[in-house]
Amino acid sequence: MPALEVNRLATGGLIDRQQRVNFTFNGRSLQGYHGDTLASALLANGIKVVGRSFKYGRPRGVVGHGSEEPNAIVQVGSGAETIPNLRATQVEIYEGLEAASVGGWPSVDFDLMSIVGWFGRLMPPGFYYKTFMWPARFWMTYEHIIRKAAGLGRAPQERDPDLYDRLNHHCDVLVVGAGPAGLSAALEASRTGARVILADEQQQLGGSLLSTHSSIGAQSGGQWLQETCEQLASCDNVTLLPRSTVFGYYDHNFLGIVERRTDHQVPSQRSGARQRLHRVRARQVILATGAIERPLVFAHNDVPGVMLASSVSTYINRYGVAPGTELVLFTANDSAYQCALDWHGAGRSVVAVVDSRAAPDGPLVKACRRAGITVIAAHGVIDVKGGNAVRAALVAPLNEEGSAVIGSARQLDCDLIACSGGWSPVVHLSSQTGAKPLWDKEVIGFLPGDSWQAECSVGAAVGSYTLLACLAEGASAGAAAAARAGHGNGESMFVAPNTQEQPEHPAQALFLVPHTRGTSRAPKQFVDFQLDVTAAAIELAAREGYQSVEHVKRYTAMGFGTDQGKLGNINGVAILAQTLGQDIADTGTTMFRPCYTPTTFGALAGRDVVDLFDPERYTAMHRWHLEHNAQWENVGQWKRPRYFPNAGESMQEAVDRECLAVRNSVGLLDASTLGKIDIQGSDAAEFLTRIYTNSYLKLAPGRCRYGLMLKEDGMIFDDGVTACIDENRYLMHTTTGGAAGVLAWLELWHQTEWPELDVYFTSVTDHWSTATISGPNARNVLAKVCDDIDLAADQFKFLDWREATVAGVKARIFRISFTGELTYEVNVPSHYGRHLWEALIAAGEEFTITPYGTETMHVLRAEKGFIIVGQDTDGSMTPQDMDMDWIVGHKKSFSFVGKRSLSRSDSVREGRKQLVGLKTRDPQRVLPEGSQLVNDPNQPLPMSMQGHVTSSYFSACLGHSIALAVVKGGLSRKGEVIYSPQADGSVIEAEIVDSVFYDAEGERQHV
Amino acid sequence: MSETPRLETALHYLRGSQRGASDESPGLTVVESALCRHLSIRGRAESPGFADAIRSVTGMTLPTSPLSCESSANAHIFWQGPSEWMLVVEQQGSETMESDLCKALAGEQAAVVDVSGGQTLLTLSGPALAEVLQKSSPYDFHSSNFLPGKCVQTTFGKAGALVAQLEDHSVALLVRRSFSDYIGRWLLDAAAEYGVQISR
Repeated sequence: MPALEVNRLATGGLIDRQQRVNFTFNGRSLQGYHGDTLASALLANGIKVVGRSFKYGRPRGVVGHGSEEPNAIVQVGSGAETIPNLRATQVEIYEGLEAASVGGWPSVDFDLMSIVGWFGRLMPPGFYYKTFMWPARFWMTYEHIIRKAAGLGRAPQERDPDLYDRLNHHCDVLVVGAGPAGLSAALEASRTGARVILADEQQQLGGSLLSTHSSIGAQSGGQWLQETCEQLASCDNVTLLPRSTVFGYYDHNFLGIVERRTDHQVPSQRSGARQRLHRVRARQVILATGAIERPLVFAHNDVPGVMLASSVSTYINRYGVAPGTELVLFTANDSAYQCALDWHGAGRSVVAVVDSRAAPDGPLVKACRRAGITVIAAHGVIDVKGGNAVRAALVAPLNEEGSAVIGSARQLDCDLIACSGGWSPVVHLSSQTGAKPLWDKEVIGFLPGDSWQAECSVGAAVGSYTLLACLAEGASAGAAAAARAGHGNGESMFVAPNTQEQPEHPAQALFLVPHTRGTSRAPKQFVDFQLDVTAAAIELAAREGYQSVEHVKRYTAMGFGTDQGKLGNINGVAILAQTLGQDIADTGTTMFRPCYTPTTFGALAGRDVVDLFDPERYTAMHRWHLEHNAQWENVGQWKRPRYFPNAGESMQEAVDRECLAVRNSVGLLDASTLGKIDIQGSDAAEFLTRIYTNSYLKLAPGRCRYGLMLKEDGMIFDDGVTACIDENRYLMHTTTGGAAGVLAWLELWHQTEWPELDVYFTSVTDHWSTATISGPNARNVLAKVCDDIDLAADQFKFLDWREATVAGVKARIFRISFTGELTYEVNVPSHYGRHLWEALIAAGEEFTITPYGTETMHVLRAEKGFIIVGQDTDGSMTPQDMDMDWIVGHKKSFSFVGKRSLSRSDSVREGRKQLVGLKTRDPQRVLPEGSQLVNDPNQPLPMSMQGHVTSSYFSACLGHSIALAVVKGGLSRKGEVIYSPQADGSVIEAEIVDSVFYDAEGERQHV
Repeated sequence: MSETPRLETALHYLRGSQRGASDESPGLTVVESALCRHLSIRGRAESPGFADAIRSVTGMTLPTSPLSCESSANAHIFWQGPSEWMLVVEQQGSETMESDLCKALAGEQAAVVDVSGGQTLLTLSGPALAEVLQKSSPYDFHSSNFLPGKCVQTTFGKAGALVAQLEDHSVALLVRRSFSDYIGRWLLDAAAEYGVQISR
């Protein structure tokens, strides 16, 4: 049987009493109502302990009612959909909800860490740094245990089955927070026609209006709220985002909002995106983020049953829950008296209001007195009795400054202590922009500092705590922001409602409630509940020499929890200032970073997951490859077939077969991914000659030339063949991975250095699909599908290109070769790509034409000693290092990019790594690529490295392994033996040979 | 070879795909155009002879204000940069357009490049169009900023695309062939909640 809701009031609240909701907490079956948060439902059920503290394992209860909650941190759901580190105060309950405390391992009721708590005195600030960091090798073990015991939540192990997505927005005015100020701002801005987004982290818009009894003119706060929401919802130019946390404020008024769309629904009824990331670019931002009540720091102030005064009011007014029976209210200001009035109004007993001020007499104080509530002035709650629940408050007289106990304490029996140290404006988002919060003595809080962004803060976020002020400030900010975004004249249409608000009397700045014993000897006075930071710890940190608030934060861990110290930071800063004898303004506060509350990775990843994680680029032949068992290699974003294994073939067997087919008959390669750039203009040849190391001034139409491109530092950047299409038109081929970079490189030089040259570049990579026919039978294959040009060796020579009709399609055929065999690269517009491919496969059938992939291509080119830029080079290789000085035009009239660097002392020094071939002593042994090379494998460590292997394969054609390597001074070391020590202790011995292993004379491609 | 060459548009295999609600009127309809002639045109907008040559061949005015496009019954010219345009025209009747343009532009500093095989033109329409665009790209596609006749090059998902608002408020999406599979699947995914189909 579910427990009784002992604390549920008979009436009141915004919950739906017709709709019962069953849920479990730590395995226990409970009931609440639709409209409850997990926290309100737990309190209704009389559950006091909701978790265990981080360091001391102390029992903890609900303190707040919103995102500030430090204690009631829960894991919701199970399995793949579970989310850790949610605040129970923000979790809406639904039928079947399963929640569990995050803190407290192995269980909330028996906590291992509470034993550690016995040794609390042995765990001063910096404890973890001082203890667990040594010895370093144990840290992994420590961390594992600490995380588990501290209860940092559990990430799901399974893949998240839910959908998350993303929506981009541009708006004129983004209003953050839908309390009175935010609603008023949105309303005014919307009247101008401006595009307005109003986001609020709660399930309902309204902010403080939801938890207080207020009136606006003749209306109740609730009526005004309803009318305002209806009006906003009816505006096409307004987007309302409830359940949406603005978690990050980035440069150029870019903000991140996470909307929880289905988390509050019964899982079986959820559909669509669970959470949605809204990426907002706002012209103007209005931060109406409100204020969070500040707890008071007194001994044992963490015992379950010590809560914020405004939270107690909220549970009564919004949820119909009175979390106790006997209340002691402890305050240093007027506003908290409302809590006593609400409690009294709920028919519960107010034991006393304890006020640290000498003579409280504001309007709410008077109202309490009228209601017969005892007010004990000039006193403080200095200590709490109770372990798992409050049993009594110890109340003692304080001096006027609230800095010392000046009389003996008496005990007030109670089961709930509500406290209020005043209010802290929520400056987090403002602070994220880089605006340093500024201390305001009058407000007794940090206010938003000056920001570089187009934003302003209004309402409680700037310390305006009356309803009228919030409405008025919101309205004028809304109108002004809309005007700055180009809408309306900036004048607010807001008419102040006829509401009398009596001013509150001044509050007292009370940050640390004194004890009869000094802070260091008093029982723990908690500042940061989530990370168990006490007043004594902050004082100790100051005594140990920490003065900067940022250092103290890191040393004590204050504000480091998932709550970012929303409750504790200001008290901590004030205690530090007091200890250092500083003004709070001089101590300052720490800055805040995104995320305001923890945000799921799912929301940030959106739909960029699984097969949409990154675009895959496909050629026009891709689907043929798929149908023919291609194994893939990723080249940039392209998917290229690596090899095409027959049934039962290993990769090596398939590659061997494909290599031999090309050498002995004919193979077919999809080379469509090679970068292709159309270059046109009367200065095209001149431009090419400046970009490449060799000259293109005399390249005739119909001819092709291989080129090497360098960066300014003289290092090889790209290579490829360029064909002269006609006098002023060229087609440049680039490496597959380098295509985009090369186009950008050409544009860079044209636009910044040589704008006077008449030349245009157009990428045609995707336009042309390329099928490369390679092998002794290549001509025979091509001849079967191409009869309108003469393919004879003396008519269509090596490095010629021709326009021709292939398989009925107008094509460009290039006689260039990366295999060393007779090769035709046939290019057709890509919509004919698959047609061409299939026609060539059919035409080659009698020659057992063999489709081959990139792995085979790599072997074949390595046999020929052709480099692959980016594999055999690494951005530190000159043409000379690659033994390619033959391609450098030293006598060109205009310089070329990188020329000057080729004569730098470092470029011409002895002992540079140079490209050579390696032939292993054991012909079957294939050197692993990347292997280091040494002269003497028996030398002591560290060995003198001579170079490394860049490419290495088994050559089926040659019957032995081959490798390309860069070796210091390698070109003059041919014939010498070099060694490669391997990770398994073995040593591979190899002879340094020429980098060309096959057909050194190049006869086979000239047939 | 007597056989007629077989032609495949970039997304031929995704035609007829649908996701989500399969009723008569999906939230998003994607139509891949039959193969068009795509000509990249480079040149100097400030040269009167340049725009005249374009007009004489295409019958259309060269759009010279940034982010704009011109459309006729069977063609679009998209502004892509101060010296760069993309002409997309139906194949039929435009067989000689590339050579006609080259002839008309003789003497001009200009370039015409056929990139028909490298791109595909998708037309998007339907009630969910605005939201699908919002999901796909950080550009501001609000009706106050993205009016008929506007074209932008932006990121679409993680690929690049040219997006243009046409007179009938449908949207032209010009994508590179090699990225078209990704964009097709992106659209099917992004619009699944509204119902989406790629027309046959």
